[in-house]
Amino acid sequence: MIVFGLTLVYSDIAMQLLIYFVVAIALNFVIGYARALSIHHAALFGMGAFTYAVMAQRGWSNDLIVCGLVAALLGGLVSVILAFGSLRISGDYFIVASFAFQAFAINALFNWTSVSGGANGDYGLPTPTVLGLAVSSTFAYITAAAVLAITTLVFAIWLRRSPYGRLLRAMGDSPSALLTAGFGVLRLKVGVFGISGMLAAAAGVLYAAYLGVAQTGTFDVSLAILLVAIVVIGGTGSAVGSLLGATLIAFAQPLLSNLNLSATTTAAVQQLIFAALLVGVVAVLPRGLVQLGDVRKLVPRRGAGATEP
Amino acid sequence: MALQVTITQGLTFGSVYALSALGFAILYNTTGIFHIAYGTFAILGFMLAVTLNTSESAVPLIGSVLLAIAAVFAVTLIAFALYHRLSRRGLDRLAIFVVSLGIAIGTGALMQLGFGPAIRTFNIPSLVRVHPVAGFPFSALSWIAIGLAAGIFALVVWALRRTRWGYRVRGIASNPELSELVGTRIGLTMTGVYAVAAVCSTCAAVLLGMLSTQTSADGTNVVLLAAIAVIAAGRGTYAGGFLLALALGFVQPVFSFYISETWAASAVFGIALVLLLMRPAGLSRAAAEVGR
Repeated sequence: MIVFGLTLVYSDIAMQLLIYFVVAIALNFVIGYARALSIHHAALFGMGAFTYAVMAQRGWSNDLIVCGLVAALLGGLVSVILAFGSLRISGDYFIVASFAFQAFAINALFNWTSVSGGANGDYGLPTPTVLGLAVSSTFAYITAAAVLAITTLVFAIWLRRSPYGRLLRAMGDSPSALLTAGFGVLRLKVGVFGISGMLAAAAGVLYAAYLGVAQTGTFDVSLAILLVAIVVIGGTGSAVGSLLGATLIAFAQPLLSNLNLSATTTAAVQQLIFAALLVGVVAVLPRGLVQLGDVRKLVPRRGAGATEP
Repeated sequence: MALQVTITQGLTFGSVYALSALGFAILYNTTGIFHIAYGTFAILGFMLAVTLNTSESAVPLIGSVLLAIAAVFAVTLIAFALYHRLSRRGLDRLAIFVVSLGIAIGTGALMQLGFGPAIRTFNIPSLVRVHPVAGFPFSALSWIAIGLAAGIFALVVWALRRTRWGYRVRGIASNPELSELVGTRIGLTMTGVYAVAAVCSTCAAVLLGMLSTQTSADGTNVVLLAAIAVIAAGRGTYAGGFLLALALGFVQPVFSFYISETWAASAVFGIALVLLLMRPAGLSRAAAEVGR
């Protein structure tokens, strides 16, 4: 019984870690490359979850690959539309527009009861399949999430090192310089927003399939802020940073649940810790926890400051 | 009758949103900092006021609101002291926004621990009792909201245009370094700015808590509407943000009565989103020029 309970807790942690890692990398594309602080990724993640809920419940398909592709197309499309918007606005304007989109999308989903189930959400979602094989065991879910996470990580590393990735980094550093060099910012921005939206929505499919539930309340502004916290605490523009942030968030909840506090108190204490981390990390480690790994830059070098012979 | 109800509700809620937007605007226009914790601080003010007013000691309404304003002023002062400290250390606007986000989450969590997750409201039946005027179902609370918003707006605009403090605030907004160089006491001037913001945000949250119910997690909606109005109107304009927030107050009742009550809240954010994307420089071009 205890072994079963532990397995359940650890499988929840593993799933949360892997899924948050994928969404954090997706968000990191927008924050790291386009330098736009997106608050609407929770809505894109939610769109993926409801895509699975609708497709599986109506008997269209419960195949994770099919649902993932459909969700990715939808998420990518919405994200591309927002990318066109981001060309006209930046900085605080984009943050507010992103916030407004998050609030609008979740409100609209909540009211669209035939899709979201309203306040109750979509319950009892069918067991998913992959190429006809049922994904019913915890191990199968974790394997599916790990495949998505590893694919995302490999893609993120490839993108960073590719010529396209170098252009993306240049866009983040100086869009005007990129324009002067003859490269269009539009194509790059639309591309990075599209990829980001696709990944976030695809992660949402797996999330809903694992939980068997999709509720609009799960994807509200609190989650949006949590996702930003994961990216900022871990380190913007870094896949390792996203992993660090996601690990911290995934382990915090079960650790706090050992304190035998009520659910409300646990959530509040958890938020308090995130808040302290968010402020502390930005103030002390502006590049996030990943900066800790760069020991050489933290510790002053011997002889630093001495004039060269 | 629907038209009268729509206008009354629009004016009442719009006035509350406008008051909230005015507080956000004075902070944003003067410092350029997107203080996302503004809404959470406002709700903190409401929670303190309602707790003081309804506790066993039963502090009178005015007294509890004044104490709440003092508390919101204190936390705003601390938050901005931190922003400026971090800003001097070279952190950019995005990093300061994230710090503000952290402060908002932390304050929200502390409120959850201190006040609990329960829905809170002021229960003053005499204030919400309707006294129709020419068919318009105004309550005493409606008049208080409209009067307070109009009064505070007029006072702030007058102070900004006609007083020494106002000149200094405008100077800091356009060039803080030069203002310091010519001897402006930045700290003292900014204290006044924080005080105005605390008055506006707390009064708006208390009024909102009298018109409807609030929980300790409702700060996001307060700041979102205020930020939408101020940013969509264009940085540097107070009247623009105030009027746009007033107009946003009409969207919900108009949608509820004439189109669909279910979609009213979505409509507010949808219209705001379209507005931000269509007019990125703000509704007033002149305002955008001032904001540069």
